[in-house]
Amino acid sequence: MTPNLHRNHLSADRVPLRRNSLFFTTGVLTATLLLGVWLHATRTLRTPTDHRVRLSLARHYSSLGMETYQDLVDDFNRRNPDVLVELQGIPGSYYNKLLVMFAGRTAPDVMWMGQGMAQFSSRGAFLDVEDHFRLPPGHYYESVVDCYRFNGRLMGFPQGADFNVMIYNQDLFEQAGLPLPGPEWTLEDFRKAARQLTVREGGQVRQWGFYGEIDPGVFGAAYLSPDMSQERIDRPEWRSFLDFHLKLAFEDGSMPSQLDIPGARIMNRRQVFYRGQAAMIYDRFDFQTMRESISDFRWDIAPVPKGAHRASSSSTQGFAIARNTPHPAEAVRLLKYLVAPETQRRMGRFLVPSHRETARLVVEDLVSPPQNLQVLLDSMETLNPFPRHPKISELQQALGETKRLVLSGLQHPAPGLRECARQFREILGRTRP
Amino acid sequence: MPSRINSRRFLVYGLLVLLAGSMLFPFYWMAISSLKGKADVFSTDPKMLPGRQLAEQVVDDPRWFFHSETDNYTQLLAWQHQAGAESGPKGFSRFFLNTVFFALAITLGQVLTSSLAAFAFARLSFPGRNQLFFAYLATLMIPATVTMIPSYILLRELGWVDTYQAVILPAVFTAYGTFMLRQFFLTIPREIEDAARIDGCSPLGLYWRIALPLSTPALATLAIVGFVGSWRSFMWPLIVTSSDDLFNLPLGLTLFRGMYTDPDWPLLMAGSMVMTLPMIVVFIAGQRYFVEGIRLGAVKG
Amino acid sequence: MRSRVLGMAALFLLPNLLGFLAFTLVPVVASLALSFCRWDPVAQPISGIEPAGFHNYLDLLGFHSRTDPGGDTSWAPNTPRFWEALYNTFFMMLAIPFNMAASLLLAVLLNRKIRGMAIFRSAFFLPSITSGVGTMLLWMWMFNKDMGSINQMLAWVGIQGPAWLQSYFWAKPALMLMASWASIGGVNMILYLAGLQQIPRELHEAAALDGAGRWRQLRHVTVPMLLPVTFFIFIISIISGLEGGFDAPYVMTGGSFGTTTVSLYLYRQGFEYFRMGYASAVAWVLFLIVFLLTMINWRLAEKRVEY
Repeated sequence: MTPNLHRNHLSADRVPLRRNSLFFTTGVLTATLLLGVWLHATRTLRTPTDHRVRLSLARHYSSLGMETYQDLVDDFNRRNPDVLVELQGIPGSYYNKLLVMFAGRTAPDVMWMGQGMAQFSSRGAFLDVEDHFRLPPGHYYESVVDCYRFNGRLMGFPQGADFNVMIYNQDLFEQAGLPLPGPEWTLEDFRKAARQLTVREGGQVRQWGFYGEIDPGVFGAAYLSPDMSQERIDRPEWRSFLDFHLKLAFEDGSMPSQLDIPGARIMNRRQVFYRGQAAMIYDRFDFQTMRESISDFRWDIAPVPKGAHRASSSSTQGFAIARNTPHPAEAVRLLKYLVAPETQRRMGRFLVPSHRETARLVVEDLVSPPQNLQVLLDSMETLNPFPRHPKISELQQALGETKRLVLSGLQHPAPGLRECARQFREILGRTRP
Repeated sequence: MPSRINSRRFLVYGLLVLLAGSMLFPFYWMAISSLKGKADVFSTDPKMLPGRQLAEQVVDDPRWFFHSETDNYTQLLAWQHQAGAESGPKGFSRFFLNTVFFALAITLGQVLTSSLAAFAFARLSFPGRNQLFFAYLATLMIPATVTMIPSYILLRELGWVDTYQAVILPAVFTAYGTFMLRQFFLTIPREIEDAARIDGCSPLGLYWRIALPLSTPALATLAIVGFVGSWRSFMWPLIVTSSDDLFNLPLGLTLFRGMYTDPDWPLLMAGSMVMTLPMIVVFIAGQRYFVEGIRLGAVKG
Repeated sequence: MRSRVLGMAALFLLPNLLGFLAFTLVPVVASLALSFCRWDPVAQPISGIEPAGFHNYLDLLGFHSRTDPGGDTSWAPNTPRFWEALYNTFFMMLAIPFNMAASLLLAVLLNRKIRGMAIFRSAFFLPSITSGVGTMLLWMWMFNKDMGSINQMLAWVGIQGPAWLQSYFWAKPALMLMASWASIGGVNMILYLAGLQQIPRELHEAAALDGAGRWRQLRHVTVPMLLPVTFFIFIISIISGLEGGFDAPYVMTGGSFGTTTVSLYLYRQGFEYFRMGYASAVAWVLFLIVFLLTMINWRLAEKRVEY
């Protein structure tokens, strides 16, 4: 169409345009309405047609595990003819949505809980289920179950835990003639190995010795005093945690510093490791993906190096019941089903069960690599839980900020920790949320 | 003279091509990534071409794109997992149709109601006009973060949580669109309005015969903005829906994101591509109305 | 007569006004009320919301009430987090005039009849609709100190580039650059394009008859005729400048290195620390700031033309 034609068309049609646009608008409107009616009509019916008790079970919406969950729910519904559980997948911002639902008193009856457990349980969001779980001593990992206790009462129950382990490239260790990491491995051995495994080429690092962050618990560092009233930040344990990582990043150059990381999300530790560009990472143990992604070299897992203490960074996964659920008895039944050893066995693809015997069975089922599967069971004993403090999120943010600054070399550890401790005191002291 | 004009035109073209290229780059990267395998997305030297594997595949089997089983797009479109309904569209196609419905309904509603209100603010005089307009303007200045929970509670009181209208209605009555169209209606020369009035045109006639036709570009703009905004909206649909037969594309695509695990990048990128294309189509359709200059004479007659 | 005018106005206004009152004004007023309350949405039911007077506002201004382990309460000064965030936000808003000028120039450039113009326009519009986490990751690559393409290009001309996203000095400009890239060809450019169409061609023809060149036409016809649209864009830019800018720092810097914007701060207070009353107070202080800026603009614009 030539420009001239176009212009004439426009001016000459000004008046008829009205009729055309009327047709157009009405047409689109009708089509939209029809589409809406059709979509509405084909929705799954959620109004009760029988006398079954309805429970909602919330979980994050993710292609991974969604089908397993649906199977679990179907199985539960079959075994409990008086209850109908509906699985609700929450996309993206899981805890944001939960917050809004709690605010609107529409919280799901039973919900999946991960790292948010500390924040929600310390606010009394959940039903106390202590009396429903009479646990025979020694059958469960106490460190894991403890993550679900608040003021000594169970506020939910863990299905299991997923945690960080040391993952190393066996080929690179053998090529460098280094002994493989074992249970007696110390922080100094680890540092030496990391230094020797770093390969430079023309000023650029081609292969990092290590990529990650050793859990502060290994250095004996903690957020708060045991009664959670005092900060424990401005202390030698945190100092040695920071110093150790500064040495790795700047003195030895065996670990990428904050400046070298294009961004934790784009090239996360696992991606770097899969590509053979890091000899060791301390990262979440993700059995399936790791087996799928590594084919070029032999690899194994090891315990975190021994420092002042043993500790592994972890997050537990489990379930809790909303305090205001109209059907507490049925909800407890669902909770018990979801954390029962048989269910834990089925979820073994995703986590290490909180039930000792089941954990052993699940780990036995895993095929190698990795060889050293005992590490998984050992790590369960030394999980380092977050303090269940209502202001934990704010504290974590303050500490994270300090770590970022110090580990980029922009702030010295001592003043950094002093400032962070001051912020902790301010946050802890503030009257109510 | 002609040669000068030609070289200038050439310069303009050249500049545009250069700038447009830099704008297109991330989109190109997205497109390329959506065709790669899981492991190749973030190779250390990000490959800017789909790679030899793909090239060979295309040579071997030119129609590979449509029936490859490992292909990201096929995988995406075939995603059926229990999403929603017992009958009717399921899975990805349901997310897509939901998004189409949300976007169309919201856009239509915005254009209709905003243009009416904007006409009143721009072209009618009534007591309290400026005050009311300022109230509209003022609500734009409150961040949605703090009105989200009150809005949710309001909808719960209405019994609308997890319904189509809960997603659509609150997005329709926009102060943004009203403010924007008001500004455009203000630019319509008073002489045209006066002439129509003398011919006995009522305010409704002025709105329908003068204001709307003379503001087609502005209406197209609002339509594009409204469409794109509702097509991409994430937070509000997340808050008010609870069953996945109501999800739109941005909600549905979080399936491939995982909570602690690595996102499935190629699938996510393929999803982003599918999400972006309809917006481009709407933009191209809408920008047709941005053609040079209105003629006053055209409406006078 | 008066009632007829009102009736006519009501006819036009009501469809929008009713929905506006219900879905916009009610929540807005509720948030104003919340700003004078203490509300932890998980710990307290709505019926348990406690009035807090001006405590939230005092907290924001720089003082908070604290309880010592012994149980005594006292007032203490705050870390001025809010003011830092406000400063960061204002700093990043310095890009607004530049972005607006660029959008206008781009619109004038794209307001031609060249073959394939739709493709050019779409190309410039694309960044505003594809900008998401994926694009941000790409920019993080480009901003990387050693491997990033920006620093590699700088290296060609002999400049050693900084660690863009890990520096107090460069992190803000880096985010501003990315935001400009995403927004120049976006909504503002379309608004200007639409505004350009509203200018009657007669005005340009008359100016051309008077011997005005392209540049003078732009200054004396185009720019004045675009004032209402410019006013709109400016107000909206100020609003979104103060209240937007959440995703980029959240994803790219985590709010470190002086990139915590007010909106990120607000989100964290409300949705991560569960301090809804305080978050509402922050929102309303923001409102006051934007409202004052808008009023000033309104008065200035009124002096020039009648709006």
